[in-house]
Amino acid sequence: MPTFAELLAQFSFLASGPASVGVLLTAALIVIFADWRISVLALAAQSILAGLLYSQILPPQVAGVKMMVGLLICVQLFITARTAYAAPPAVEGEPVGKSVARKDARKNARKTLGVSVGAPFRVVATLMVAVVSWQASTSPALQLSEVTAPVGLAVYGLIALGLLGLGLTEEPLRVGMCLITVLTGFELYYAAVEPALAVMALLAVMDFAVSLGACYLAVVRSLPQRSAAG
Amino acid sequence: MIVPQFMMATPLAVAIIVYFLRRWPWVQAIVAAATAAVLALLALQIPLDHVAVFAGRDVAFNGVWTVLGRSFTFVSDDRPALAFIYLASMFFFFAGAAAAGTSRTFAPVGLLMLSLLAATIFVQPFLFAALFLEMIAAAAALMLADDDHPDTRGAMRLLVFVTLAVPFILMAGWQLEGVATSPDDPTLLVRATGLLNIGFMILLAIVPFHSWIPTVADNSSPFAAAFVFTVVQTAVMFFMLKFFGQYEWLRSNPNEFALLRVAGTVMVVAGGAFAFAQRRMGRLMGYAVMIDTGASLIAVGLGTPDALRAALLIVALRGAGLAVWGLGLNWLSAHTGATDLDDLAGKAWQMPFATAAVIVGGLSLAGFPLTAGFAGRWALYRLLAPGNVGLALALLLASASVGLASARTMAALFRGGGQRAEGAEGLLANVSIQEGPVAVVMLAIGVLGLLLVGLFPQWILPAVSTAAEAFKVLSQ
Repeated sequence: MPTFAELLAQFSFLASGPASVGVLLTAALIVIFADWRISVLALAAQSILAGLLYSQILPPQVAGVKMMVGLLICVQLFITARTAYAAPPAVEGEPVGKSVARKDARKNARKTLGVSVGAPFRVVATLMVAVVSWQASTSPALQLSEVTAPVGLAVYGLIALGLLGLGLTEEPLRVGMCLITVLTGFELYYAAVEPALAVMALLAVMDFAVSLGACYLAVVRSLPQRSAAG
Repeated sequence: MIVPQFMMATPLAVAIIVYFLRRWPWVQAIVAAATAAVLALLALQIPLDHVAVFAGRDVAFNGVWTVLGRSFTFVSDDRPALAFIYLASMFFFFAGAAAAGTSRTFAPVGLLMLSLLAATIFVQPFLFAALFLEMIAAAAALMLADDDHPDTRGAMRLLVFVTLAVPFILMAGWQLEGVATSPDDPTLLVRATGLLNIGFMILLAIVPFHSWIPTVADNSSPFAAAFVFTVVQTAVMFFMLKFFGQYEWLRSNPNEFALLRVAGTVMVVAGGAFAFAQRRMGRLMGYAVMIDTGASLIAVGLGTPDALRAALLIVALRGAGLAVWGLGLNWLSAHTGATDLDDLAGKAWQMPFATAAVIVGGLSLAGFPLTAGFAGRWALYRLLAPGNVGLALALLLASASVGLASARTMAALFRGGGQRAEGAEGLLANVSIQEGPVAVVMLAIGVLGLLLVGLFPQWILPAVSTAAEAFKVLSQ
């Protein structure tokens, strides 16, 4: 079985431009789409691509741990989203699809699926932010000298798109994903200037804490709807 | 024994135990309060880097715990801050069981936060305390939202703001490392100062980053909100003072002190502008906290030893006022389901002790004479009067705004309860106390405590002076 370092070496062709464009795309998906499945999947892809970018800055083992932390956070978010947004179970003896509660739940679920309300605005805003991030990463005055240009683009893009997402939602799980996006952008840069193991560990714990807080709040927020529907 | 490890691990271990005791809130409260009391005693008395006889054996008490190249260090200067946090928590844990409506995760999460707060004080380099503050904000979410308080906006905003502050503090630390290697490069210091200022503006909830304070106070359990305002904001204040104490270039920059005064004034003015019109008591508490935080920042910004003592006095007494206010408001809201003045009309006749706690706690936070909060405010007014009359007036007006809102609260709570009172007998006929005996005792102790400290502030002044000693370099 190949080691993580060998796996990274195999995918090294992705670990530069494609990975930084990829993380921007995943961040854009999180901002634009309201469907939690798409958002969690995008965050998972973002964790993998960020792991590839980390491999340019950190030893492969540490980059691998960062990637695993990101994926574990996605698992945490996925389980929470299923709990918080799942339709209530069918009532015994009731014809399938006839339950009013289930109908309402599906109706609510449809609202949260797919593209969110105000999608054109979100798309335009996301495009504008992405262009500004790209401009900032290429501008000599704002260039991040401690990291390569693709990583710089990922840093600017993730932070800017994460902040945009934070400004557009108050739903805890989405806020949590946007915060993780901002933190991923920051950590990509900070890992280059402070690669100490203790700091990496603390930042990983911090990411988990943010995710845990967001998941808890998502569950609490969904309680009244779930008890009304159930 | 490694003291920092012990101080951080003990609350964590007890938190796990207490979590499994959640069916017995009183046992939870007693165990959590006893843990906080023991930790407070240890924080004050434990010998550091000495061998002492403990349980008949020689035990070496080591003040440093090294983990992955970083350390958690307990020094004597940390004792007052730790003791204050533990003692304040002790009251909150004990009173929490009496405060109806407090979530059963209050004590375990509170203990978890104590563990993280100890880490913020011990961690070296201390700028990494920002990471622990962020974890505290995440833990606070577990306390601020529950089945009875499903509106998560306040807790979410707290989490977002603290998370956004962390990168600024960490980047400032990186710039400061650069200063150590290139001391002649002023741009690094300028950048570090700018980053620190932004980071602390967000952490201290200075306008425009204040929105989480009234939202948390309005949406969450008032008692949990009071705990977060007391313990978390105190930790942030000590964190900031540590920065000033550590870096000579920062404390020798008069612009930084001026900035603190400006930030404090903005907090005071914003809080005062919104407080008097509030009809929701939770939001009123939030704006009162903003004014009090602003007052303490103004005091630190004066940069004199007396002003520093006044700042610490304000911070300490804020905790006392908030605890009593939160306890009373929690009781009222849990038994009426409301925090709006219109819905609470006449409730004073059924809940006189909770009403007294809300009013006296509110007046204490407003710095009203004969309440605990007055001592700190009076000290600050005296310091401001000679050269900063404008600031003193702004603070006075903001305090009057909270006082006015408290008076309206009192009027609403006593309004139209039952029959019209005809003389003393008629008045007493309206009273039908619905508070339980335990709640009555806790609320009465809280109210009496605030009034006694208001009458005899000299009881707590020596402790405040000792705490100020830890930051004496600030005013040199």
